Amino acid sequence: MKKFDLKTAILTLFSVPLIFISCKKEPSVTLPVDPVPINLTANQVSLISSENSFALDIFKKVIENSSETENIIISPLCISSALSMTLNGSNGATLSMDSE
Amino acid sequence: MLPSVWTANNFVVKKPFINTLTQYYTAESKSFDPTDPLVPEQVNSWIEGKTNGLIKNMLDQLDQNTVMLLINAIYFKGKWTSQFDKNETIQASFLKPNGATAQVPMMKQTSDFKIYSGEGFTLAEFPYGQANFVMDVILPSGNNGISNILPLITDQNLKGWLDLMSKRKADVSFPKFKYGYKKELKSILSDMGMGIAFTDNADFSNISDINLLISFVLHQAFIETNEEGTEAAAATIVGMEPTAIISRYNLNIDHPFLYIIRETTTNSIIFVGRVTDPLAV
Repeated sequence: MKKFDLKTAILTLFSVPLIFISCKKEPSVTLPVDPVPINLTANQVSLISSENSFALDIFKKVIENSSETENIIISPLCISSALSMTLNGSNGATLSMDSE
Repeated sequence: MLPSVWTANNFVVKKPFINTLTQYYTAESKSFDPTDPLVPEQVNSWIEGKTNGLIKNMLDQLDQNTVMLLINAIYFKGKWTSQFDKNETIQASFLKPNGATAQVPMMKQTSDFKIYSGEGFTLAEFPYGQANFVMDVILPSGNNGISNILPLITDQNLKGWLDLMSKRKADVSFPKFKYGYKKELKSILSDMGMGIAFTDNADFSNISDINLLISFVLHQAFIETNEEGTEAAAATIVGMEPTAIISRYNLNIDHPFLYIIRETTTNSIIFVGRVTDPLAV
């Protein structure tokens, strides 16, 4: 069972709004032309990897539970970070389940 | 990421829980009256405000047992690095899963894009702005190819495919699309191993001294992709309510019964009896 690092989770969640702010800017001559690198710690890399696995797993489950002709869109990051707020208040078996 | 925590005004929350949410998650803290029928409207208008109006009417009603709502909203707007010319957009056919063909607005452009031709699919990358964000389109070969390709899409495989992409001049036909989607995720998350959080055995003792469970996880999202780029938003509402109160058992010995008197350490029975009439002598 992977031990959940709340601090890393919080740091990663923090970095997300920052990226979004840069994305909201109207185009101008000063806009960078190349991606702005975001440096991550080893913990953040592994957290993003588990977030991505969650993203693809829940997407597959949602597809299984939808009609074949339906358009689908979900934001797994929005779901997992809402759930992580409850995780912050959980204990014992509920905590280890949530953080997997 | 725009989070908020809504607490019923008659519910006592542990201070450190709220402090963590407001300080580290920068969550807004709000309170609501669980008996007020206007609560869903208040929640919906908060979400609508955080998503540039893309997520509307999310909550229809709220169970009066709800003591806490953890809400998260996300909003994205990106303009294509290489935009499509509106004048080039034509009506073209799109083959639907049932084999029928629809005439849809198809955007056109010829440019360099990162592309990888895999086994049974093509992966193409459409960057936004300075390319911190991109849309990766996975187009299966064949009309009903999604079910074949889906199991192969893992974080590991995706990383590998992205590394194998290379820039190629491509004639791109890309349909415009605009739709919303809404789903209650409790049963899906249960399947994924989070089941205990939805049961009376849930332990959210760091939130409150009253035992809580997650009563619903509602998710709604919206996307519009056109010649300029993409605007998308999503919101998640996690509802919490007290676990079922274990009611006092009602033991009313008002009809004939048996009894045993015994010594507990040895389990030896000293008396056995039957009472059919407590008044009889």
